[in-house]
Formats: sequence, C-alpha cells, structure tokens
Amino acid sequence: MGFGPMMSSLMRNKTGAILVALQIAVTLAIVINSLFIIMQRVEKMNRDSGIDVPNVIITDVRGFGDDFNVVDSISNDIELIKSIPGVIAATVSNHAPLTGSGSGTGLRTVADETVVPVGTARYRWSEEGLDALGVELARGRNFYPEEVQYILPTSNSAAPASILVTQALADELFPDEDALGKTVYWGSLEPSTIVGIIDHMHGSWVNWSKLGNVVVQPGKPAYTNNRYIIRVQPGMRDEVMPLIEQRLGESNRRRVVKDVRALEDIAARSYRRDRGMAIVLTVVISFLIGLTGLVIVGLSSFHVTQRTKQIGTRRALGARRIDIVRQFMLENWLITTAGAALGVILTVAVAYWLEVSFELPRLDWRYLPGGIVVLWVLSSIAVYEPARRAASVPPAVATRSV
Amino acid sequence: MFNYNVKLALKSMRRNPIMTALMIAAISVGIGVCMTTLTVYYLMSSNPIPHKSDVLFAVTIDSWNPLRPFDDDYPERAPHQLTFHDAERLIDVGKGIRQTAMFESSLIIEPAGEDQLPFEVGARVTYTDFFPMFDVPFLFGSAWDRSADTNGEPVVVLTRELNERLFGGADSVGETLTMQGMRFQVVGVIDTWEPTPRYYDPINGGFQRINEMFIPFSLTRVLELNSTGSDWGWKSEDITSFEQWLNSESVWVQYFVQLDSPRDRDDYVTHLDAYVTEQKKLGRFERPMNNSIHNVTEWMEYHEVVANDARVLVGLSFLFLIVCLLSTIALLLTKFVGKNSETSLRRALGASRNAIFRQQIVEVAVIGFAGGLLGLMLTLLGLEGIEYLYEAPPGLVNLDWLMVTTAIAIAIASSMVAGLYPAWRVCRIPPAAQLKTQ
Amino acid sequence: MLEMSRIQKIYRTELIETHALRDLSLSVGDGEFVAVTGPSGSGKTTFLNIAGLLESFENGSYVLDGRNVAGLNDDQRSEFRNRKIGFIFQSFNLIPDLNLYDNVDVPLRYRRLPAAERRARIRRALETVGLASRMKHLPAQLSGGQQQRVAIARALAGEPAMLLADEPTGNLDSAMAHQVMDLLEEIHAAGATIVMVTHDPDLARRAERNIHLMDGRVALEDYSTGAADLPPQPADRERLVARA
Repeated sequence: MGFGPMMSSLMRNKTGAILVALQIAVTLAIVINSLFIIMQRVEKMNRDSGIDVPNVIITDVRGFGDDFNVVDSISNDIELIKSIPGVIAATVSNHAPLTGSGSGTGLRTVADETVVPVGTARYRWSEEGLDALGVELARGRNFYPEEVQYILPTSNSAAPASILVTQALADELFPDEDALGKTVYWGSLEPSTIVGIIDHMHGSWVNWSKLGNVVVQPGKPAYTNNRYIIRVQPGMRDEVMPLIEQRLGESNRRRVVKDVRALEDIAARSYRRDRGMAIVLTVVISFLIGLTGLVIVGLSSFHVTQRTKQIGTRRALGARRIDIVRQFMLENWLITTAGAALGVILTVAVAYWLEVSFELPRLDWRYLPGGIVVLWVLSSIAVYEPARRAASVPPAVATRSV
Repeated sequence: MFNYNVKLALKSMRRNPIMTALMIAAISVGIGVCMTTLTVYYLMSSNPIPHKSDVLFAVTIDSWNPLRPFDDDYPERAPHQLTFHDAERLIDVGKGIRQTAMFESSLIIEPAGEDQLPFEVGARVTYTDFFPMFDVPFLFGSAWDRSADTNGEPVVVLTRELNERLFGGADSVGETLTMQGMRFQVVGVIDTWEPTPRYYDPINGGFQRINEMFIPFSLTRVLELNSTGSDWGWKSEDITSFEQWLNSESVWVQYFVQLDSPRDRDDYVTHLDAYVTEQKKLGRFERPMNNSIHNVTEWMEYHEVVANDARVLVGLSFLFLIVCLLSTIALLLTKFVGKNSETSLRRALGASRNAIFRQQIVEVAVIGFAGGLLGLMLTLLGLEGIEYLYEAPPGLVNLDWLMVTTAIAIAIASSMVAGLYPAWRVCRIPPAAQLKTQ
Repeated sequence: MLEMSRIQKIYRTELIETHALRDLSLSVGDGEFVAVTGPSGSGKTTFLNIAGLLESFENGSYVLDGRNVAGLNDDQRSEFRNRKIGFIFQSFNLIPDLNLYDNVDVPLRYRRLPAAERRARIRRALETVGLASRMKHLPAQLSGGQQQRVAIARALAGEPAMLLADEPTGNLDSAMAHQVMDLLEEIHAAGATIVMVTHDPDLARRAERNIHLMDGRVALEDYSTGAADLPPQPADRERLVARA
C-alpha cells in the first residue's frame, strides 16, 4: 500500500481531515502551554523550604483582661508545651514562615538612607527558633540565651547586636564577600552584626521572588497575639496538636487559644492558588485529551463502516490485514502530523500571548517535541481499534451486492 | 414544522447514538470548562455595586518616603492606605459628605458565664457612614448615631451570623456584650451581605468574608485597637506608646468618600491638596503632591482583584471550546454523510433546500441544548471543585441566572455555528430518484 | 399533462461530455399510462430525473400540468415536485426508522397542510394500498411488495398530477410484482396519469403506450405492442457483454 491511494482517500474527505488536523493543532497548543504552567506550579510547590514542615505546629493565643500578664503567659505556655512528650523545641515568634502574613524590612550594607535597601522577611524568635523550625545553621552561631529578651509593643526596641541571615540574603547583601561577622544597617541606620548564616529557609510570602531572604532578630515578641512555633518528633504531630490545644486552654482561662495548626496545612493554603491552577489545568487537559481521542475513535469507526466495501475490495485484491491496519494508521499519522505542524505555530503564539499579557515565563522549547509525541501516541491508540476492525472486513464483501 | 423537525432530530440522534453522545459530550465539556472559568472570572471582575461604583471613591495621599516611591513597580502611585492621624484629620476636611476611615481589627468576646469560652471575632472599625455608603442592609436596628463617631461610645453592629451565634438570631438591639473588658451595646444587626469582590477592602483580600462586626472608629484610642490588616512603614520612629503609634508615618487606615457630582469630586481633591499643602509646611509630605480619588472599578483594577490565573484559564478554556466545536463539526459532517440518501429522497419528495437546512439546524440546536444542560451540570461541579481547591468561603462561588442563560446561549449558538457548514453541505445534496443504499 | 420538446441534457466532467438526452420530444396526455423503455444508457434515467424535476436541462421546453418548468429555481421546483409528482422508486426508499404513517407523511409535511387533513390523506392513501391496519409498523417489518405499496401510498397521499414510477417492480419477485402492477392499474383506472420507466418488456406491455428511448431520443412509439418485439440494438448488446 503506497501513499497514492491513501492520499486520494484522504483528499476525498478533505474537510474532515482538515477539521481533525485543526483540532489536533489547538489541542497541542493547549496541552503544551498548560503542561508548562502545571510543571512550573508543581516545581514551585515542591521547592525546598529548608524547614521541617511536616513536624512543625503553629499555635496562636491571645490574652484578654486587665490582669493578663503577657510575659508570664508566654513563659508558662512555652514551658507547658515543652513538657508534652514528643515536643523537640518551641519558641514564641512574631510570625511564622510560609503563612502569607509576616513582617518585611530593608537592610543596607552602608549607613546611608539614599542607598536602596535589600528587601527581606524579618522574624524575631528565641534561641530555640532554629530548632523549632528544623532549620540548619550553615556557619557562625545561634543566639545566646542572654541575647533573647521579651519585646513589648511599647518597649522601644533598639536594633539587636546580633542577627542571623539566610545564605540567600547574605549573597544579595555581600555578593563578593563572606557576610559572616559583617555589619548591616536597618531603616533607622542602626547597625547589627551577622553572627550566623542559615543555610536555607523560606520566608513568609510564597509568591515573592525573594522568598529566600530572611533576617532573624533575637527576642520574644510579647504583643497582643502570641504565636508559637513548635517542632515535634517525626510522626507525633497529629498526636501532639490536640494536647497543645487542650492543655493551653485549661491552663489559663483569661486567654483564647485561637488556632493550633500544622504548618503543612498553612503552607498548603499559601500555595492553594498554585495547586488550584495546576489541578484545574490537569483536569482541562485530561478532558481535552480524552475528547480528542474519542473523536478520533468515533470518526475512524465511522469511516471504516463507510468504506467496508472498499476495504473488502482491497482485501479481495490481495491486501493483507496488516496492510489495511497500516493504511488507517498511516492516514491518521499524516493528519496528526499535519495538525501538529500547525499546532507548533499555534502553541508558540499562545505561549507568546501568555508571556506578554501575563508575564508568564517563556515556554521551554523542549515541551514541543514532547507534546507532539504525546499526540502521536494518543492518536495511534485511538485509531488502532477501528483500524483492526477494518482489517477484519472479509474479502467476500467485495462480491456482495448491496 | 418546528415540532416535526425536533421529532426528526430525535430520530436522527437515536440512529447514531455513539456519534450523538460524542457530540453532546464535546459540547457539554466545552461549556462546562468555559463556564466554570468564565463564572470565576465574572465573579472576580463583576461590579459589586453598579449603581454607586462611580460615586464611591478610595482616597490616597502621598505621605511616603521622600527618597523612594511607595511601589517601585508603579512609582506614580501613592500609598494605598493612610496614616491614622491623616485619616482622622481628613474626616474634618470632608465634613458634610459621606465618608469613612476604616481598618480591620479583632476583639475577644468575653463570656457572660463561666461555662462558655471566650472567642475572638474580626471587626471592621469604621464610621457610621459606612452603612449607607456601601448599601448595607439591616435586619434589626440601624447604624450607630453620629455622636458615637466622635465620643468613642461602645456600640456594635453585628452580622446576621454573629447574631445567630450570640443571640440565637433574635432581635438583639439593646442587648450588651463584653469585649476587651468593656460593655458594648448592640445597635443593629445587618442582613446577609457578601459583596463579591469585597470592593471596599481589596487590600486585605477581595474574596474574604466580611468582618463579623462593626464598631466605631473613635474606639481605636479607647481600646488601643491594632490593625489586623496590612500596614506599611518607611520611617524609623521611636514608638513607646500607643499614641506614638497613632501619630507615626505607618499607613494602615483605608479611606472612602461618596462624591455624587464631578464638581464635588473637584472640590474634594482641592480640599485634599489644601490639607497636604498645610502638612508640607509642618515638614511632612515631602514627596511631590500626589492626591487622588479612585472609584470602585478603578480601585479593584489598582489592586488586581482579578487574578491573572483566572484570565489565563478563560483564554485557555475558550481555546478548549474551539476544540469542542471542531470536534462537533467533524462529527456532524461525518454523521451527515450517512444522511445523504434520506436527504436526497426528501428532496425528491419535495423538500426545499431551506426545509432541509432548517431540519439540520434544529437537530444541531437540540444537540446544543442537551450539551448546554449537561454543560451546566458540569459547570456546577466545576465550581464546587474551584470552591474546594481555592478554599473560597462557601456560597461565594455561585451561578446566577445570567450565567445559566449565558451557558445555554453559548451552547446553542456555538453548536449552531458548528452546524452551519455541515447543514449547508447536507442541503446541497441533489434530489435523486435512484438512491444508493449503504 | 406532460409536454417535452427538444430537450437536451449534457453531463460534463473535466474530460468528457456525455450527451444523455439529445433532442428528446414526447408528450403524455391526462390520464394516460405510459411506459418509457430503452436499454441502459439510452437516457431513461435522465428522462426520469428531468420529468420529475430532479434535474435541470439545457435546451428545449418542458410543460408539466400546464406550466413551463424550464425557468423555475430550486425552491420553486421543490414545491412543484411536491405538489405535482408522486415518485415510486425501484428500491422503495422508505425511511427505515419512521413507521408507515410517518413515511407517508413525509411529502405532506413539506406542503404545510393542516394536521387533520394530513391525517385524513395518510389514512386514505394507506387504505387504497390495503395497509391502513399496519400504519404503526416499521418498513423492515413488511415484505418487499408491501413496502412498495407503502411507497405508492406515499406518492398518492400528495394527490399529484402524475405518478412517476422507476422500475417499480425491479426489486420484487414476480408474485409481488404482479400485485404492485395490479395496484398501479387500479390507480390508473381511477384516473391517474402514470409514467413508468422500465427495461422490462412484460411490464411495459401493461401500459397503454410505450415510448422507446435510444441514445437520448425517442426511437419508437407504440400503442399496441410492447418494446420486446424490437430487436436488441448492437451497441446495447456490446454493453451487456462488457458488464458480464
């Protein structure tokens, strides 16, 4: 079976072939661009946060009433939490990472207000903070306990002598030098010294390009709302959480335990738009691939029925089953390939639109051959059964009058 | 004739059940995906207060750092919130017009008896004008007296939900509740009110639930209320007391005014300019004069309330609809091939081309209608899914009648478009006496 | 009733022109039963298509029931066809998924008759062919002869000026063929004009008049004897050999 007769049968149903090719072209454009977006979101969600996310619990409490002593409350709470079996470390902190709410600041390497500061997330926690998040200190030292003081909302908090920064922030502040031991300046131009460098840690806002920029001040924030970061032994989290809620609740009735949540859940919520987008797009392309596949099955089945007589004649003239299957597969392959060729142009056009209108990153060209292979496989699977059915048309059909 | 055509359409659909099912599936999936994304987009971009969106204005004045703009990406923009003391003074500047300064806070409701647990509720700290400005419906009582705006009176307006929780849904006007050690008197309960998007505060999230209660702005000092929403600061200031915090350059108060005529608007901006000029003399507002008012639609665009993802999804899903239409055209063409003999017979028996064309179009419309109905169900399912995935408050994502009609209309219109060419092809089939049977 | 004069019909493809009808002139009177015969390729089918307003023609004139149909457009032809002509096909051409009632209803639907009148006509037509009791049946549940009778009922229901039958017994065995022919004769006896195209001399003999076509012209008209008496033409024999 050569190309000649096949092309002629294709040409006879020109419109149908063009429609299928067009459909494949648009399918390719959607599938490739969606896959690209999905992969980016998946990559984003799977970034290493540097934090022992599965074993961290975040707890918010808030006291009320005139007789409420926030410093006593925090110190009792931390003690109580640490007495619960399975708890490794706990600290009070101004904010918790990956939550979407936090505090940001700017740091400079020179005491000059006109210099543009480097933006970073800012935390304030005790000497147990690193341990409570499971964050690794790459170099230098952690805070000494004596550096860690209670910070009241009304106390004028001078810049601390010692701070920790992440490697990412250190690199941005001091691109060519070792940041350890260097002095940096806050907005007030007060200095602090970098005493330790955190290997890697994500800050508060997962959609921020400088998520890895984190500076930590020593201190125990004693504001209206108190947030505790607690780390437990692997596997203990779900056991410990209700215990925290219960014991904190019982220990002081002048205080509301607002929330005891797994950092894992909070982080998932922060990434919900990305996860949502990835899932929605996955559903869309599954529908799309399913639909295109079924349409190819439907159309080729119909063509087989239409061409029963012709197929029978070919068989009578000596075509083997495999020749018939090959004819159908090849025909389909030609249409798919023509569609894919057009699809490449369309894909690039859509990618350009996404890049220009929505500042999405440029499409990685390697997705193109990948998408085409997917379509080849899809259309071959779709056409195989009808083709096999065509091949089983008996040669005797040729002599049967209709 | 229409009924006859519908009957023929049903017959024809039954003749090729698989093809028919595929077509309905194609259209319904296309509609389902499109309408889901379109509904989300429509909800995000819809004008939540159409009759007032061009008379309500957010106010911005540029009190930011003389060295750098508030937003490096949009250097022409002033900070989108005000300092507390500017907000307080603007209330005097705008005397006589409807206006409100506001922020989000939270308070603890202390239980009456020992057996109940205290709990925290979110509050919007605002002026009494908030309610008429944003058309807030009342279930019981009313907004507080204007005097409460100045005197720091402990009065509170509850949402229907909170009233349900505290008073079992009864008319609680006149009841009291204790918050922050202070006895508040309930003056009103609002009816269900969920503006979507929450246009008066896109800064703290356009798709959050509204706050559970409302208290007068003048209580800020009395109760030392902190904002639980966003705040931004640029100046390092020594802050050792709440009063210092209120007088700091941190911006954390939102400001809305209602200005009914263009003249009012011009006047108001002139007042703003005058205020800032005065402040400049005191050494504040060192940046160039940049005071502006933004109506509701501008304000939502300003804060990019419509997520880019929603737009991308609408774009991609319309491409998806194109695939569905191409599928439908291909299936219809193929299916109509099987109708050639019947069509030429009908032509021989006297059917005009028009009659044949109409018959095909009715068939496609029936398929479109079925696809549209099924598509609507898929849309409902899709919206459920979106609500779950994006953890939207229940009831926020909803189909209204407009969207339902749109869905059916798109389904029928698009299937008609898909059906035009195949129907045209069918009606070109010549009448014949000697019909070839398949 | 039917008056054709000097009709020409040429089929053109890219390569060849085929003169299907060259200068055909014939007429059929009101109430006549005419058989048109001729070997394959003689123009029978083309004549049938033109007579039934299924195809247009190049030159000449065609007056049907007092109206010149040469200048009619497609829609007018459709309407005229619907009102004036009742078709009876060789392969019945019933629509398989419509029951007998609905099949007979088809041409009436395109005439926008009131429902009551359509009902009455369908019933009457089916009674004429003796199948009124089976109007809810599907064509496949009937024998070939019965199916052709339904087709005749369909043709009659429109109360046409003329019945055009194309090899009406071609797909039937001889017993059924006789029944169908008897029915046609009855209808004719009741006053209908019938033009029947056939290659079967026995059938042709049952018509009042035979018109024999050859190479797109009328070769012979004969009132008494059938076309069977004509010697087969040489060209025709060659074709038969080639087909075998």
